[in-house]
Amino acid sequence: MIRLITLGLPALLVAAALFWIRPRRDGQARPAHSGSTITMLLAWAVAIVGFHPGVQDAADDVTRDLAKLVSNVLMLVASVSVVSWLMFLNHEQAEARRRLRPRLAFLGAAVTVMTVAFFAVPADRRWSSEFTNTHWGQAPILLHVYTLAYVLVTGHATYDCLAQTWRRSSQSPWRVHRAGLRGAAIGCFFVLLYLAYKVVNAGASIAGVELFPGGPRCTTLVTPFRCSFSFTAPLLGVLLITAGLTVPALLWPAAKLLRRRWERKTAQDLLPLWTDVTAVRPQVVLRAVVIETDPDVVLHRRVVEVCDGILDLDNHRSRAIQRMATEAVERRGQAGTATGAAIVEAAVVAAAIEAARTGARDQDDPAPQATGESARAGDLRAEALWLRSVSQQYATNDIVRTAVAVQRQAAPTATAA
Amino acid sequence: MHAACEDRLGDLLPLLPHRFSEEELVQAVSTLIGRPIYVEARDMKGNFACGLRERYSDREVISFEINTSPLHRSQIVCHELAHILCGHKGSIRYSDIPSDDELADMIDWSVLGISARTSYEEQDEQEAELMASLIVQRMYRATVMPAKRPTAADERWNAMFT
Ligand SMILES: [Zn+2]
Repeated sequence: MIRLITLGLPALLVAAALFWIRPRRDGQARPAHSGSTITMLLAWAVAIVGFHPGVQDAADDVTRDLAKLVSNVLMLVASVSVVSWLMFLNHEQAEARRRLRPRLAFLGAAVTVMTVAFFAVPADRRWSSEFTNTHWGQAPILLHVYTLAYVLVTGHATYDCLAQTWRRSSQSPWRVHRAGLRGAAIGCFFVLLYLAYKVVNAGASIAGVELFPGGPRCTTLVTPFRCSFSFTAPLLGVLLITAGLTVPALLWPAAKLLRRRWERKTAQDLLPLWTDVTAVRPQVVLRAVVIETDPDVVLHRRVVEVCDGILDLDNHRSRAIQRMATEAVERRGQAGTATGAAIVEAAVVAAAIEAARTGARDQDDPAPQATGESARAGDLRAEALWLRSVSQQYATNDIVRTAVAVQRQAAPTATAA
Repeated sequence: MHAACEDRLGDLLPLLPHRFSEEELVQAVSTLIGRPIYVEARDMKGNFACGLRERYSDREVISFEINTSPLHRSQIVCHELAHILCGHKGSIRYSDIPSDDELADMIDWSVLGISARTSYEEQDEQEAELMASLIVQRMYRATVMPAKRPTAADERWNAMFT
């Protein structure tokens, strides 16, 4: 399992980095923060590979616990790469570089302190040594200095990441993005939890209190909770951060595809209404200029033309038809529903189209236009959803058919009158 | 015509953020032409158009039909803004309006030209509607796609996954 994760995740991250490096279409420039994104993805890939048992064993073969130093340093670099990425997102390039410099110096200092502390402690006093495992309270103070340096840098970076991803997770306009950022923020929280545990543990040891008996490593079966926590919390954290920041990018092309399909389908669904409205009000169609064949353009024109046609039919909107349709909708228990509103509007529009087709007299007191609840947002999607439901009812509902029949029989034409 | 509209859009868009509101759009067009633009909602029922643009020497006035959906109102305002952007003179004069028409009371006699959104037979109307469609399209695309060249922090965050 651990082998799979420590190779699978980096592969995913490298793939994500390659996706960012890809050449863009029509010479489009890469976003300014691409560099920091690629660096971050690769830094995390390397950091996770650092946990691979093969790498760990090879390092430990050199000197006792070297694997810990290696993976800790790689994790520091990875967490500072996140800080860099956040800075390039929040600031212009020059400003981001300026703000990053002290953080890099901080990272350098921490790595130096950790390396010096590591090599200054004799191998038989390091974490996995028998002495330290059995006398954790008497562990060399330098091991705690090491921990402190590590926690300070990681904690600072993680806190930055948590605060910003959480704040942005409520501001992004897209659900997938919001979910991803929230996932990353929760991941940061787990990492912070783990770091807090490390600090408390180190502090207690310096004070000579053995808070968690059993030594620094999961060597005994007496401490299963602690072992599973100190392994699971950071791993879960890293997994959530990685997934939160990569899954939305992977889902984006699919979301785009679905949106285009929705636009195409909705434009199709508007056809029954559009065809009949524009047959009696042909002047609303912008025929002379074929704009584009992009589905959103087609949908937008169709929506606007239906709106124009319906507005132009205003004088034929009958209050009697509106009343009749409202009563029919009430009888079916659909009063107050979105479908009910769409049926009434479809009936009024259908009768108005019929009136225009037969040259009926204008209404003295035309029925007001209904704007569906869903169209209030005022964007294309909202308006299209409302008109689509009107169009669907227009094409299929028998209340609408009755309205047309009533209009046909009742209305005297302008010429006849 | 399409290319000319895209060119004009090229002058306008740099004045706007990736996601922009109608107010910001009106402000940007006003900045571009160096004259104030006043936008008014009107009950235009019974009149022959759902949107009007009045050109004066020192200002522009846009009116749009209030009895229609929000998206439709946006389209109408953009259509009238497009007349301004395209530098159309306005094919209707004050003297063309019958004195008993409601319109005559709404419009100041010093108006230099009037455009009305009715049909697309005239070339100016076609051009304005095309231009309006391109603008409304940009507004829609900004809600479903992040900026291609993000400039502000918000835009960079929105573009982070693409
Ligand atoms: Zn016009």
